[in-house]
Amino acid sequence: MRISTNMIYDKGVASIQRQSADLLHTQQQVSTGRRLVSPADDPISAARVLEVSQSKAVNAQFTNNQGYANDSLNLLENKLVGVGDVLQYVRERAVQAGNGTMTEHDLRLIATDIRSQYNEMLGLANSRDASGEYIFSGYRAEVQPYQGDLSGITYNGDQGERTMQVSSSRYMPTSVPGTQVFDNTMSASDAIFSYAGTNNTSATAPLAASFVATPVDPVNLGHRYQISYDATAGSYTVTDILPGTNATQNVGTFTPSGSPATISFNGLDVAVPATAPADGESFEVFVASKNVMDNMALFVSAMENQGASGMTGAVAFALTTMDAGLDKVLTTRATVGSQLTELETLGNVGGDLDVQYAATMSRLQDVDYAEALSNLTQQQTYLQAAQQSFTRISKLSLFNFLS
Amino acid sequence: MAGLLNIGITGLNAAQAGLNTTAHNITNANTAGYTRQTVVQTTNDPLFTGVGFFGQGTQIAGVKREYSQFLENQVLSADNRLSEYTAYYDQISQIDNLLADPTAGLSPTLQGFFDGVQEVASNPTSVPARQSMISSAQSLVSSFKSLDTRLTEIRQGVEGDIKSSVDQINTYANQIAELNQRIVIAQSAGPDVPANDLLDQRNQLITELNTLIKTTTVAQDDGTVNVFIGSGQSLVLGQDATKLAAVPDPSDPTRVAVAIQAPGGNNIYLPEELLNGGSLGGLLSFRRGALDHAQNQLGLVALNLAETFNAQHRLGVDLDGVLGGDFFNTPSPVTRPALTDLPVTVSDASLLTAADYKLVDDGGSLNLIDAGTGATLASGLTLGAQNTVAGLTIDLSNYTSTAAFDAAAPNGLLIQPTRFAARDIAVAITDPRKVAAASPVGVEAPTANEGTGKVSDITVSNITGMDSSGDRIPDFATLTLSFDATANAFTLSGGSGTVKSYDPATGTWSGTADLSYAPATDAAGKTFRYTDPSGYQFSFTVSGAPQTGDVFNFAPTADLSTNPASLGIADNRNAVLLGALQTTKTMLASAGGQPTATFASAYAQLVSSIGNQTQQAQVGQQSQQTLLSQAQDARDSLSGVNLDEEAANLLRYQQAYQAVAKVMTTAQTLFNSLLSIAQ
Repeated sequence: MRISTNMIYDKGVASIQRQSADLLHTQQQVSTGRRLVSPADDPISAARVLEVSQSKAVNAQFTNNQGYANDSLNLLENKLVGVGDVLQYVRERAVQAGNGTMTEHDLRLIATDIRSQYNEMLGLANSRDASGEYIFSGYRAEVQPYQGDLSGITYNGDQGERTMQVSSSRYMPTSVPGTQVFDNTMSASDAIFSYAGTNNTSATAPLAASFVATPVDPVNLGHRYQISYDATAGSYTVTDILPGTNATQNVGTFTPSGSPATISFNGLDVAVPATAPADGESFEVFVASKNVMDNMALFVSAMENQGASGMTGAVAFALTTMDAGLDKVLTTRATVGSQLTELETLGNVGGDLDVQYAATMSRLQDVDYAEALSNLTQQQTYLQAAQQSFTRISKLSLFNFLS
Repeated sequence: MAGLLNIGITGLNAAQAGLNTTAHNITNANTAGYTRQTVVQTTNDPLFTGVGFFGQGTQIAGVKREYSQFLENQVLSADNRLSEYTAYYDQISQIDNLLADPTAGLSPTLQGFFDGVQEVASNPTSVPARQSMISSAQSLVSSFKSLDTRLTEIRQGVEGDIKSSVDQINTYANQIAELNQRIVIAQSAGPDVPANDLLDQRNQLITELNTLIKTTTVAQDDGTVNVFIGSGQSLVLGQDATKLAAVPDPSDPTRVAVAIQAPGGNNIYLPEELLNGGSLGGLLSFRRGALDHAQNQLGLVALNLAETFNAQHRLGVDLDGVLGGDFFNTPSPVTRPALTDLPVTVSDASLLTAADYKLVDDGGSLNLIDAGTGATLASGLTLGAQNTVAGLTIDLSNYTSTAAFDAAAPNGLLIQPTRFAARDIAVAITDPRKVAAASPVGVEAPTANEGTGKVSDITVSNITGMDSSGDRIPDFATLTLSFDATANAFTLSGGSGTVKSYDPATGTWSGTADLSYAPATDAAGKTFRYTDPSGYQFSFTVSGAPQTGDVFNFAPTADLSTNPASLGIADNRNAVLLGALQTTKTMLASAGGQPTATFASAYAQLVSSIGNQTQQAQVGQQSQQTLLSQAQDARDSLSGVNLDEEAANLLRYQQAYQAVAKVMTTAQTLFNSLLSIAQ
């Protein structure tokens, strides 16, 4: 083949340039640590890197959310332990109060103790988190959920459960509205506790009471009625001993009617004994509230202002209602506990995923230094060879020998 | 002796001509387009005598150009493709580099924005978290804008390059026409006496023209060549050149189109697709293939993000209990010509693609076509009414005849839904309290409920009519569901709408009103959806076992009219849904209407598509470079100057000269011998 002089130069320069370009690319890879200097190097990997990096960042965000959820749930758990402790303590004091040797003075001391337990309970129910938000008020974080005292409390929150996305498919509730812990502790069907008066001689069986209608109107719950028989009038006098103040409120005087003979008041049907009791014989009916704090208040009232059934009824009432409250707290704690365990698992999975994503991204975009450095050396050798051979060839000319 | 001297002189002349040509070759070794020349030496006509023919020396028959049109054409073809790829690659590599860094580009700010949303979902009461969400939205918007600005700069560069390419083409065309003229004069002796150096110059001009645009040349008998471009439009005819012009495209005046200026001054537009090859072809195909697509795809992500995020944001309520407004300013489609009485709006962003559309009058029927491919998307749009096609609402209320449309848009109506979206997107709210993190509907299960029934997952899908007073605070009437265990069904009171239940097997809402709930089978959760006659709609899931008389009250989360303190500021339900949009497929719906891409994956598609096109251009460039270098080798092998060869020729002709001089000396000696006889 005939060679033109320009070919020698053009080819030499072109090959040096190509080698330099390759060398520069490898050098960029080595200096940035990235195999993909631009998406054109590997378009599929470049797009994949973007997707994986989003997945990795989303995973990191979930880990972050798990941290928040963990904080909330731990605080919740902590408060629930406190609530459980209070209930347990009240229960123990109730057992103590049932001891027949207790004098009225002793009972007053216990009542005072439980009053302060009540306040502690109310404090727990109105707990705030680190940012000053009430944790038991549902979505209404700035509203104090429970207001009131032993005379009765009201819930001002709503029933919202704050939720956090802790994994791609898991939205975890991180708060519990107060209604789920303190209210709803027992069913209305279990709420009636009926006792015969301790001094009764003829009518020793408790009165059978039931609700007129279900669901029961909440105003008819949380009462302690004293029902005494007036033989002259043949009627029953019903009084309600209000918790907190221990004031007695006259509900009314009722003459039994119907068959079996019943008297009805405040949503209750009370079947009176078929054989009329002796004059002055009395009965006590506790209607438990669904709220565990109201029930605590009823128990305090029953100690401070003993009813017809004395401490027998009051203690039985207190043990049942405190157990129901404790049960509710334990159920909630079990849920929270399992959520905390779940968070730990999710955290582990998230950690593994993070490592995997990092590995995938590294595989997709990071340079293999051994290979890149070997390439660099190789390309350097090629470039040097190209340069040296070019200078040698370009020196060859017949004109050098013409004189 | 006279004969000897005469013969010697012819030899001297021939040797000198050889030396001259060699010197010409040596001096032009580096001249672009130069073709090696050689002298053609023949014997003189011999002298006839009775004994035979006596040679009369030598003569130069001509100076030959070592040239092959075939080899030259191969170089032209490869060179043309190479410059097309190079122009394309030079432009697209700018976009490629723009998207190269994973820590720049859109991905990190998109992620940052959704991190901000998640932060609000985790801390809905925190005003700083809300502020950081707005700030991260602003940085997302500015990253859209800066990418778009860079693409616009590249576009401006391309438009400028197209104009200067057209100017250069005109210059070359004029020079070729002028050389045609000079060659005709120079070769007046006939085509057998070629004007070698002029031909080289013209070839060089054609080569350079050919790097700008694909040309076809036809040689004429008088020595001129005619040059054609595109699909046979003549650029140079003999000694005349046609003038090209870079003028605004009639259907989109922001673009430069190439036209031939007819003698009368009219512009005849050349369709872009016909102007292929060369750097102009590369620029045009880059602009229409890669750049338009890149800018549209980026705009598509921006538009979808704005539309989808706004739609969800409007379903929530803010820290003041007010229904959410637009979070982003939604970019609206741009039409050319801009007809204010023919508004085009986006009806469903998920159906949009990165294409531009064109509304054209096709023989009395208004058709919507894809401006890039020309494929018909919808034909026979209804005049005088709103038309919803391909995710767009085209309001033709003011156009009752095609004639009116033709008068307003003689070249058709170009619709660019996404082209400017990345430029026009903006954050609409600045007040952190206006982030609608809460849901407008809450549920309350009274403590009187005896069963374990629970309502969860309230998802609002429409808020029309939730606010009747006009203060944008939801105040719809409380809706009550009461359970009847004997009938195993709920009854609805307080609202006159219908309730449908969700069938997970078919994924549909049952067609008739359905409030049945059997705790025995449905306790794991049954989903219902309430639709009010005024429009609002929400779904909810009932689980557990309610008992007869248990009720669930659905009411505005914040009942501000009766209880100003009832604001649910820790309600993060809408923020959680907003955060979930990051991983939800909301874009590029399939034919069945099923979205196929998330925001990030649509952006990744853009990166991958630009990367692929860059890689193709790179590979094309390399392969054409190889082809060109092979073709050039073949041509230079024939036409190029080799200095060693010329050095040898120098020696050869020098020796020939010396030898002939010896002949002359011999003649001199002979003559002297003759004279010495006479002494």
